[in-house]
Amino acid sequence: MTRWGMVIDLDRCTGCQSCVIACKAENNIPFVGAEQARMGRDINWMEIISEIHYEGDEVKRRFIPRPCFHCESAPCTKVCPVHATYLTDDGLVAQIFHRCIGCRFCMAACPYTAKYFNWSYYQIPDQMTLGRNPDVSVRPAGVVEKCTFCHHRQLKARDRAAAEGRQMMPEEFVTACQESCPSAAILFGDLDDPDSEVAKAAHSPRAFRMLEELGTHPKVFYLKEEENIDG
Amino acid sequence: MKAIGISRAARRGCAAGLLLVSGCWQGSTTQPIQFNHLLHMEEVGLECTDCHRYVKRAEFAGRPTVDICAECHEELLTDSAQEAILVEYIQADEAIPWERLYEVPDHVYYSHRRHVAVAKIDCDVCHGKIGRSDRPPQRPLQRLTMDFCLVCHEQQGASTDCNACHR
Amino acid sequence: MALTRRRFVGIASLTAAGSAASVGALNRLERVMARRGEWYDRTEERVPSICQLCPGGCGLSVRVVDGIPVKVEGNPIHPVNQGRLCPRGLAGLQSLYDPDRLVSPAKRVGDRGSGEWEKISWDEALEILAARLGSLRDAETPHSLAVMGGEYRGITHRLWDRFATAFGTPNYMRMRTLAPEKPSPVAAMMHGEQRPITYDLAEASFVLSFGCSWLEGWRSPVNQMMAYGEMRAGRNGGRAEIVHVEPRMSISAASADLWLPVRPGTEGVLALGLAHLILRERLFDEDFIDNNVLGFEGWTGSDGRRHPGYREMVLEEYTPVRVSEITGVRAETIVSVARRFALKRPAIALDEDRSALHGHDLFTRMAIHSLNVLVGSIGAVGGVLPGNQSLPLDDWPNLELDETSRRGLSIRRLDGAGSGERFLDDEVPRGIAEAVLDENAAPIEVLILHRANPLYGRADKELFRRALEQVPMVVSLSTVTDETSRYADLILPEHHFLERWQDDEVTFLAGFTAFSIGRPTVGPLYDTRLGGEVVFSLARKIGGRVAAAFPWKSYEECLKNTCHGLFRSGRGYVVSSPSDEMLRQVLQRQGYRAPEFDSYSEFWDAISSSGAWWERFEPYERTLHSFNTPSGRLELIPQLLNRRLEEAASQQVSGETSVGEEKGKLLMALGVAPDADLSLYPRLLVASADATEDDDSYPFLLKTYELLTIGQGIGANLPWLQENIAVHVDGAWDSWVEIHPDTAHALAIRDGAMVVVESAAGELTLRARLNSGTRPEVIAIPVGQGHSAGGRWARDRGVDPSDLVTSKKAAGEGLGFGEPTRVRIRQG
Repeated sequence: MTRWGMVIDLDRCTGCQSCVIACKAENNIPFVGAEQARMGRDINWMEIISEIHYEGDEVKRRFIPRPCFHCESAPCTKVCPVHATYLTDDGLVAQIFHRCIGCRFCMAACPYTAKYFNWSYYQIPDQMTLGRNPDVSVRPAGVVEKCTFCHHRQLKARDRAAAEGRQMMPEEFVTACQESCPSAAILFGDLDDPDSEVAKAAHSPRAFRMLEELGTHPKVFYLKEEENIDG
Repeated sequence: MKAIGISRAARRGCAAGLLLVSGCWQGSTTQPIQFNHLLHMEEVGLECTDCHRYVKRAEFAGRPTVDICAECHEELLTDSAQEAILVEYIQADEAIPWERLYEVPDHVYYSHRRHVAVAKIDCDVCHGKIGRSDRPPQRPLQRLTMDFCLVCHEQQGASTDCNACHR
Repeated sequence: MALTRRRFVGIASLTAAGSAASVGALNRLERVMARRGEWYDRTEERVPSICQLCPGGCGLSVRVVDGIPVKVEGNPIHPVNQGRLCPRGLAGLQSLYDPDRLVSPAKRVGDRGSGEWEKISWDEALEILAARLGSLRDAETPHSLAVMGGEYRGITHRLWDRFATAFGTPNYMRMRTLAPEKPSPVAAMMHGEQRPITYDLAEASFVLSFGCSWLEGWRSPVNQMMAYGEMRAGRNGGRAEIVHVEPRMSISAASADLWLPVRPGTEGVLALGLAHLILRERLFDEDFIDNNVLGFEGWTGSDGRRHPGYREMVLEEYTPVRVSEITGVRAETIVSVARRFALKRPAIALDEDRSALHGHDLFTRMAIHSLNVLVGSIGAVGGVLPGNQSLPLDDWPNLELDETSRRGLSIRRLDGAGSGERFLDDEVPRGIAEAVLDENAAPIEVLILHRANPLYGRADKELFRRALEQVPMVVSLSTVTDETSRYADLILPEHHFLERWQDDEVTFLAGFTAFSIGRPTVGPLYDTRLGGEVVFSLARKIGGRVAAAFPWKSYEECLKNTCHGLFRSGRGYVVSSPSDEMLRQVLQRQGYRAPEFDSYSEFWDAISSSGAWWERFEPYERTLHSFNTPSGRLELIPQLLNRRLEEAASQQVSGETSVGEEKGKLLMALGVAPDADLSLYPRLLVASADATEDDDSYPFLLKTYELLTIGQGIGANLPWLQENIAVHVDGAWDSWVEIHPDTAHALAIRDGAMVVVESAAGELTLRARLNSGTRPEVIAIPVGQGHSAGGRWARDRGVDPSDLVTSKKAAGEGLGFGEPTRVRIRQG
């Protein structure tokens, strides 16, 4: 069985936000404008969380890219009253935008704040709508949206494979964030395939998951930053 | 882990909602040329894929371009008034403004290739007997609702996971 | 016919948004928009292009569905970025569909800057300009045309250069502020190398960056971030160490293993402090220094005087304790960083970032680069490599000049570059503005600006504004109405980069050179033209030898002819899939080279559909015994510097002054004492750092910096970038000033409060953001905001910190990245 998952190497991440913008361009994510952004209504399926911490008296900053974690035991799916968000057989936490009634229970349930509410019909100038990705639907106002692991790319890749009478190869399905990452910090693939890069990395001694103690079993792993041995 | 199936009632509710938003199915459609499918299939002996060239190759069936028509209709073959309109388009090398009859909403991923080339579903199943019509129908011969899709998917043993079609 | 109101239009109706109400033929955009929603076939293709949003040279692969570009991605087979892309590049599509793009040529009808325009045809616009230019040549004053270009390279630069020469003006200059377009003079002085030296980051074991924001900008950010990925965990040969020296914790500093918040302006002292340790503990590469380097030991000059060498001066002046006092970096840290730098070879010290570090900039850069020399990184794998070979492009037919042009070209450049106080510069945009305002200088009659916007982001923009008012005819060639085009008499709208043929020469990255080609991804959406073709049309209208200089019918033809040399040279390869590339490398190692193309047209088809040609240089050879310096060696204490100084001084001498006096003046312009001896620069550096004074009325130092998103303002009109402007601060759609929490506490300033930052040059009101990633006495404001034009998302948003910059040096060099400006802060 396939179980899609991601490994993000924090040692390689520079916080450049390529993944964030690649995601917006791929998934037709609207910009909400200065006023709405001030109210915290901006939408980032992939977001870089950055914080300062101290090691002794040394100031350090870290960058943590945060997509949807597609948890094995996802709290959001358990509270959805209309089956608009649920776990699929291949391990994606699906979000069916047009089924969503906008109750936002799932947003409250998600400990990682990976879900976003579409507050209004975001108007963009007419000519800009030409630049939308025709493979992804534009979400209407009043629904919750989030990272889909570029599920639409999987649909196309699967279709192509079926037409050619073969199984889809894992490398045919890459996410937009992984594809754009300049320092190759993002790995994506089948966690159940022991030979895949992503499965190997997920078993690395550096691997950890966010808020593991909650028992959500995220399918996004992080590799922690390394220290130089002689540093 | 098994995806939880949707109850039929919920499905109907959803399908009804879908109908409401797809206004184009309620109105009637008039085409620029009164194309005769029956004549082209029965008398000329064409296949659907002769004109809708992408059916087996891509997600989209493909609107026949004037180039395809021009392969036969470079000049008038009959005294049909409708053909005369076509030839005007061909000679002006202008795209024929066909009105779209069947349409799935943009949040549905539908692939002709998958259904026709892989699953070997007949065109008739979704498009009705359009091949036997002698003039363009004013509304779809088969209403495409989610319920319609799912009944077939269940019969065929295809996936009924929402994520398999919705995007 | 009386002019109706209708013909007078505001600037808004010259843009895409305003054109909806226009009459006449539909432009392509309107046709495309009308077609939308029709039943289409969804044909899909990938078209190679080149990103023009910074000089990094990334190859693009544009996804075009049904003839409409829908996404910009990295070209997976392009050697610069290998499919990767930065946020600015990824958002680039938003600039194609920018509703505030210019859609039609226009001429000014109201007063300068009033924003009243009349739409005209291209023919009329070019006729107006050509008539004016023709009259300059008729009057035998072709030198009163000045052309100012912005950030571009390749054929566009060659075309303008050729146009200026054929026309007869020496006043063609570029407003370049970004590396690699503007390499630091260090390579020229120490290596005798005019091309930018390259840094083999991916293979380095230690990178010591002195304020070089190599992960946020600099030369080719994506290529550098790829190298960063290579240097981190999991690579063969172990993880590389990165140390970053900068008063503020930039993104590059945050990604480093160690951040050294040095006191501003003392970077050079720290570098020589590290050198002191390396010398004292004999950790330097003796073999390399003995064979290649001059100035390490003392020498006796032709005047019989003994000069102390680099080693002697550094050992004498830069003890860790003293350096620690000056720089604010702990002595133990200096010792341990110096040891690791020298022992973890190959090591790289990065110096050049933007235009100027501070007043004594050149010495600081030479001090930093001397670390590379000490550890023998010059020419080593994972070190600093000499400039790449130039590309085998075809030369253009020889220019034949007429008498008018010859006479015009013999007149001295107006900006004074290469002489006087500017003896180390090759172009000084500010000089043109000064010359226009100087009543004694020859007047400028026509000024053409191509992608140059001197009225934004420069500390000297007021000077430029006054100068533009004096120039009888200002022409702006650009895609949007920027600050400068509001002052233009004639606006010529240019194609967006995704709409045109493009070319790019990449010669500044380690290990390879490349020539990229971009095809139009969509036909021009509006009534715009390609910049290079505007040059052709102008030349044709002027006629004579000027017209004869441009024998090409189109830019595409010119490009195609120029590329012929790549094919004929038999060098390099058209980029191809990784598997082809692998096979080719195997064959090459065995000594085979199969000609891939039978004809040039096959070659052209391949290069224009794959996006680039490239040539690798490997393995590197350490045979560097020929440096193009006076001594033929790498000069730690450059003789060229003194020589250039002597030459410049003797040129300046008039009846009343002596060479000595003139030299003194030039030395003061370099930021040192008038009697200073430049061959003692290691001593000068510590002396000038010691002399830095505090000023109680302006207790803080302002550092301006560039964000990877909006850069120097080019990304400011891309809404996705405005919304995700930075990760270290919550600053969407705005500007902010970063203040250390301790400083803020002392001033009773809370996070998010409005504050006023004031310098001797002016004051700005903006939001305060508390940030421990800075020294307490340093505050930081990003550049790129504060536009008064440039589209709806850029305009009237945030502040432009160059309004505060006081340094004359920085003002001359560009965007005020230089010397920190002294400021004070109060609650707003």
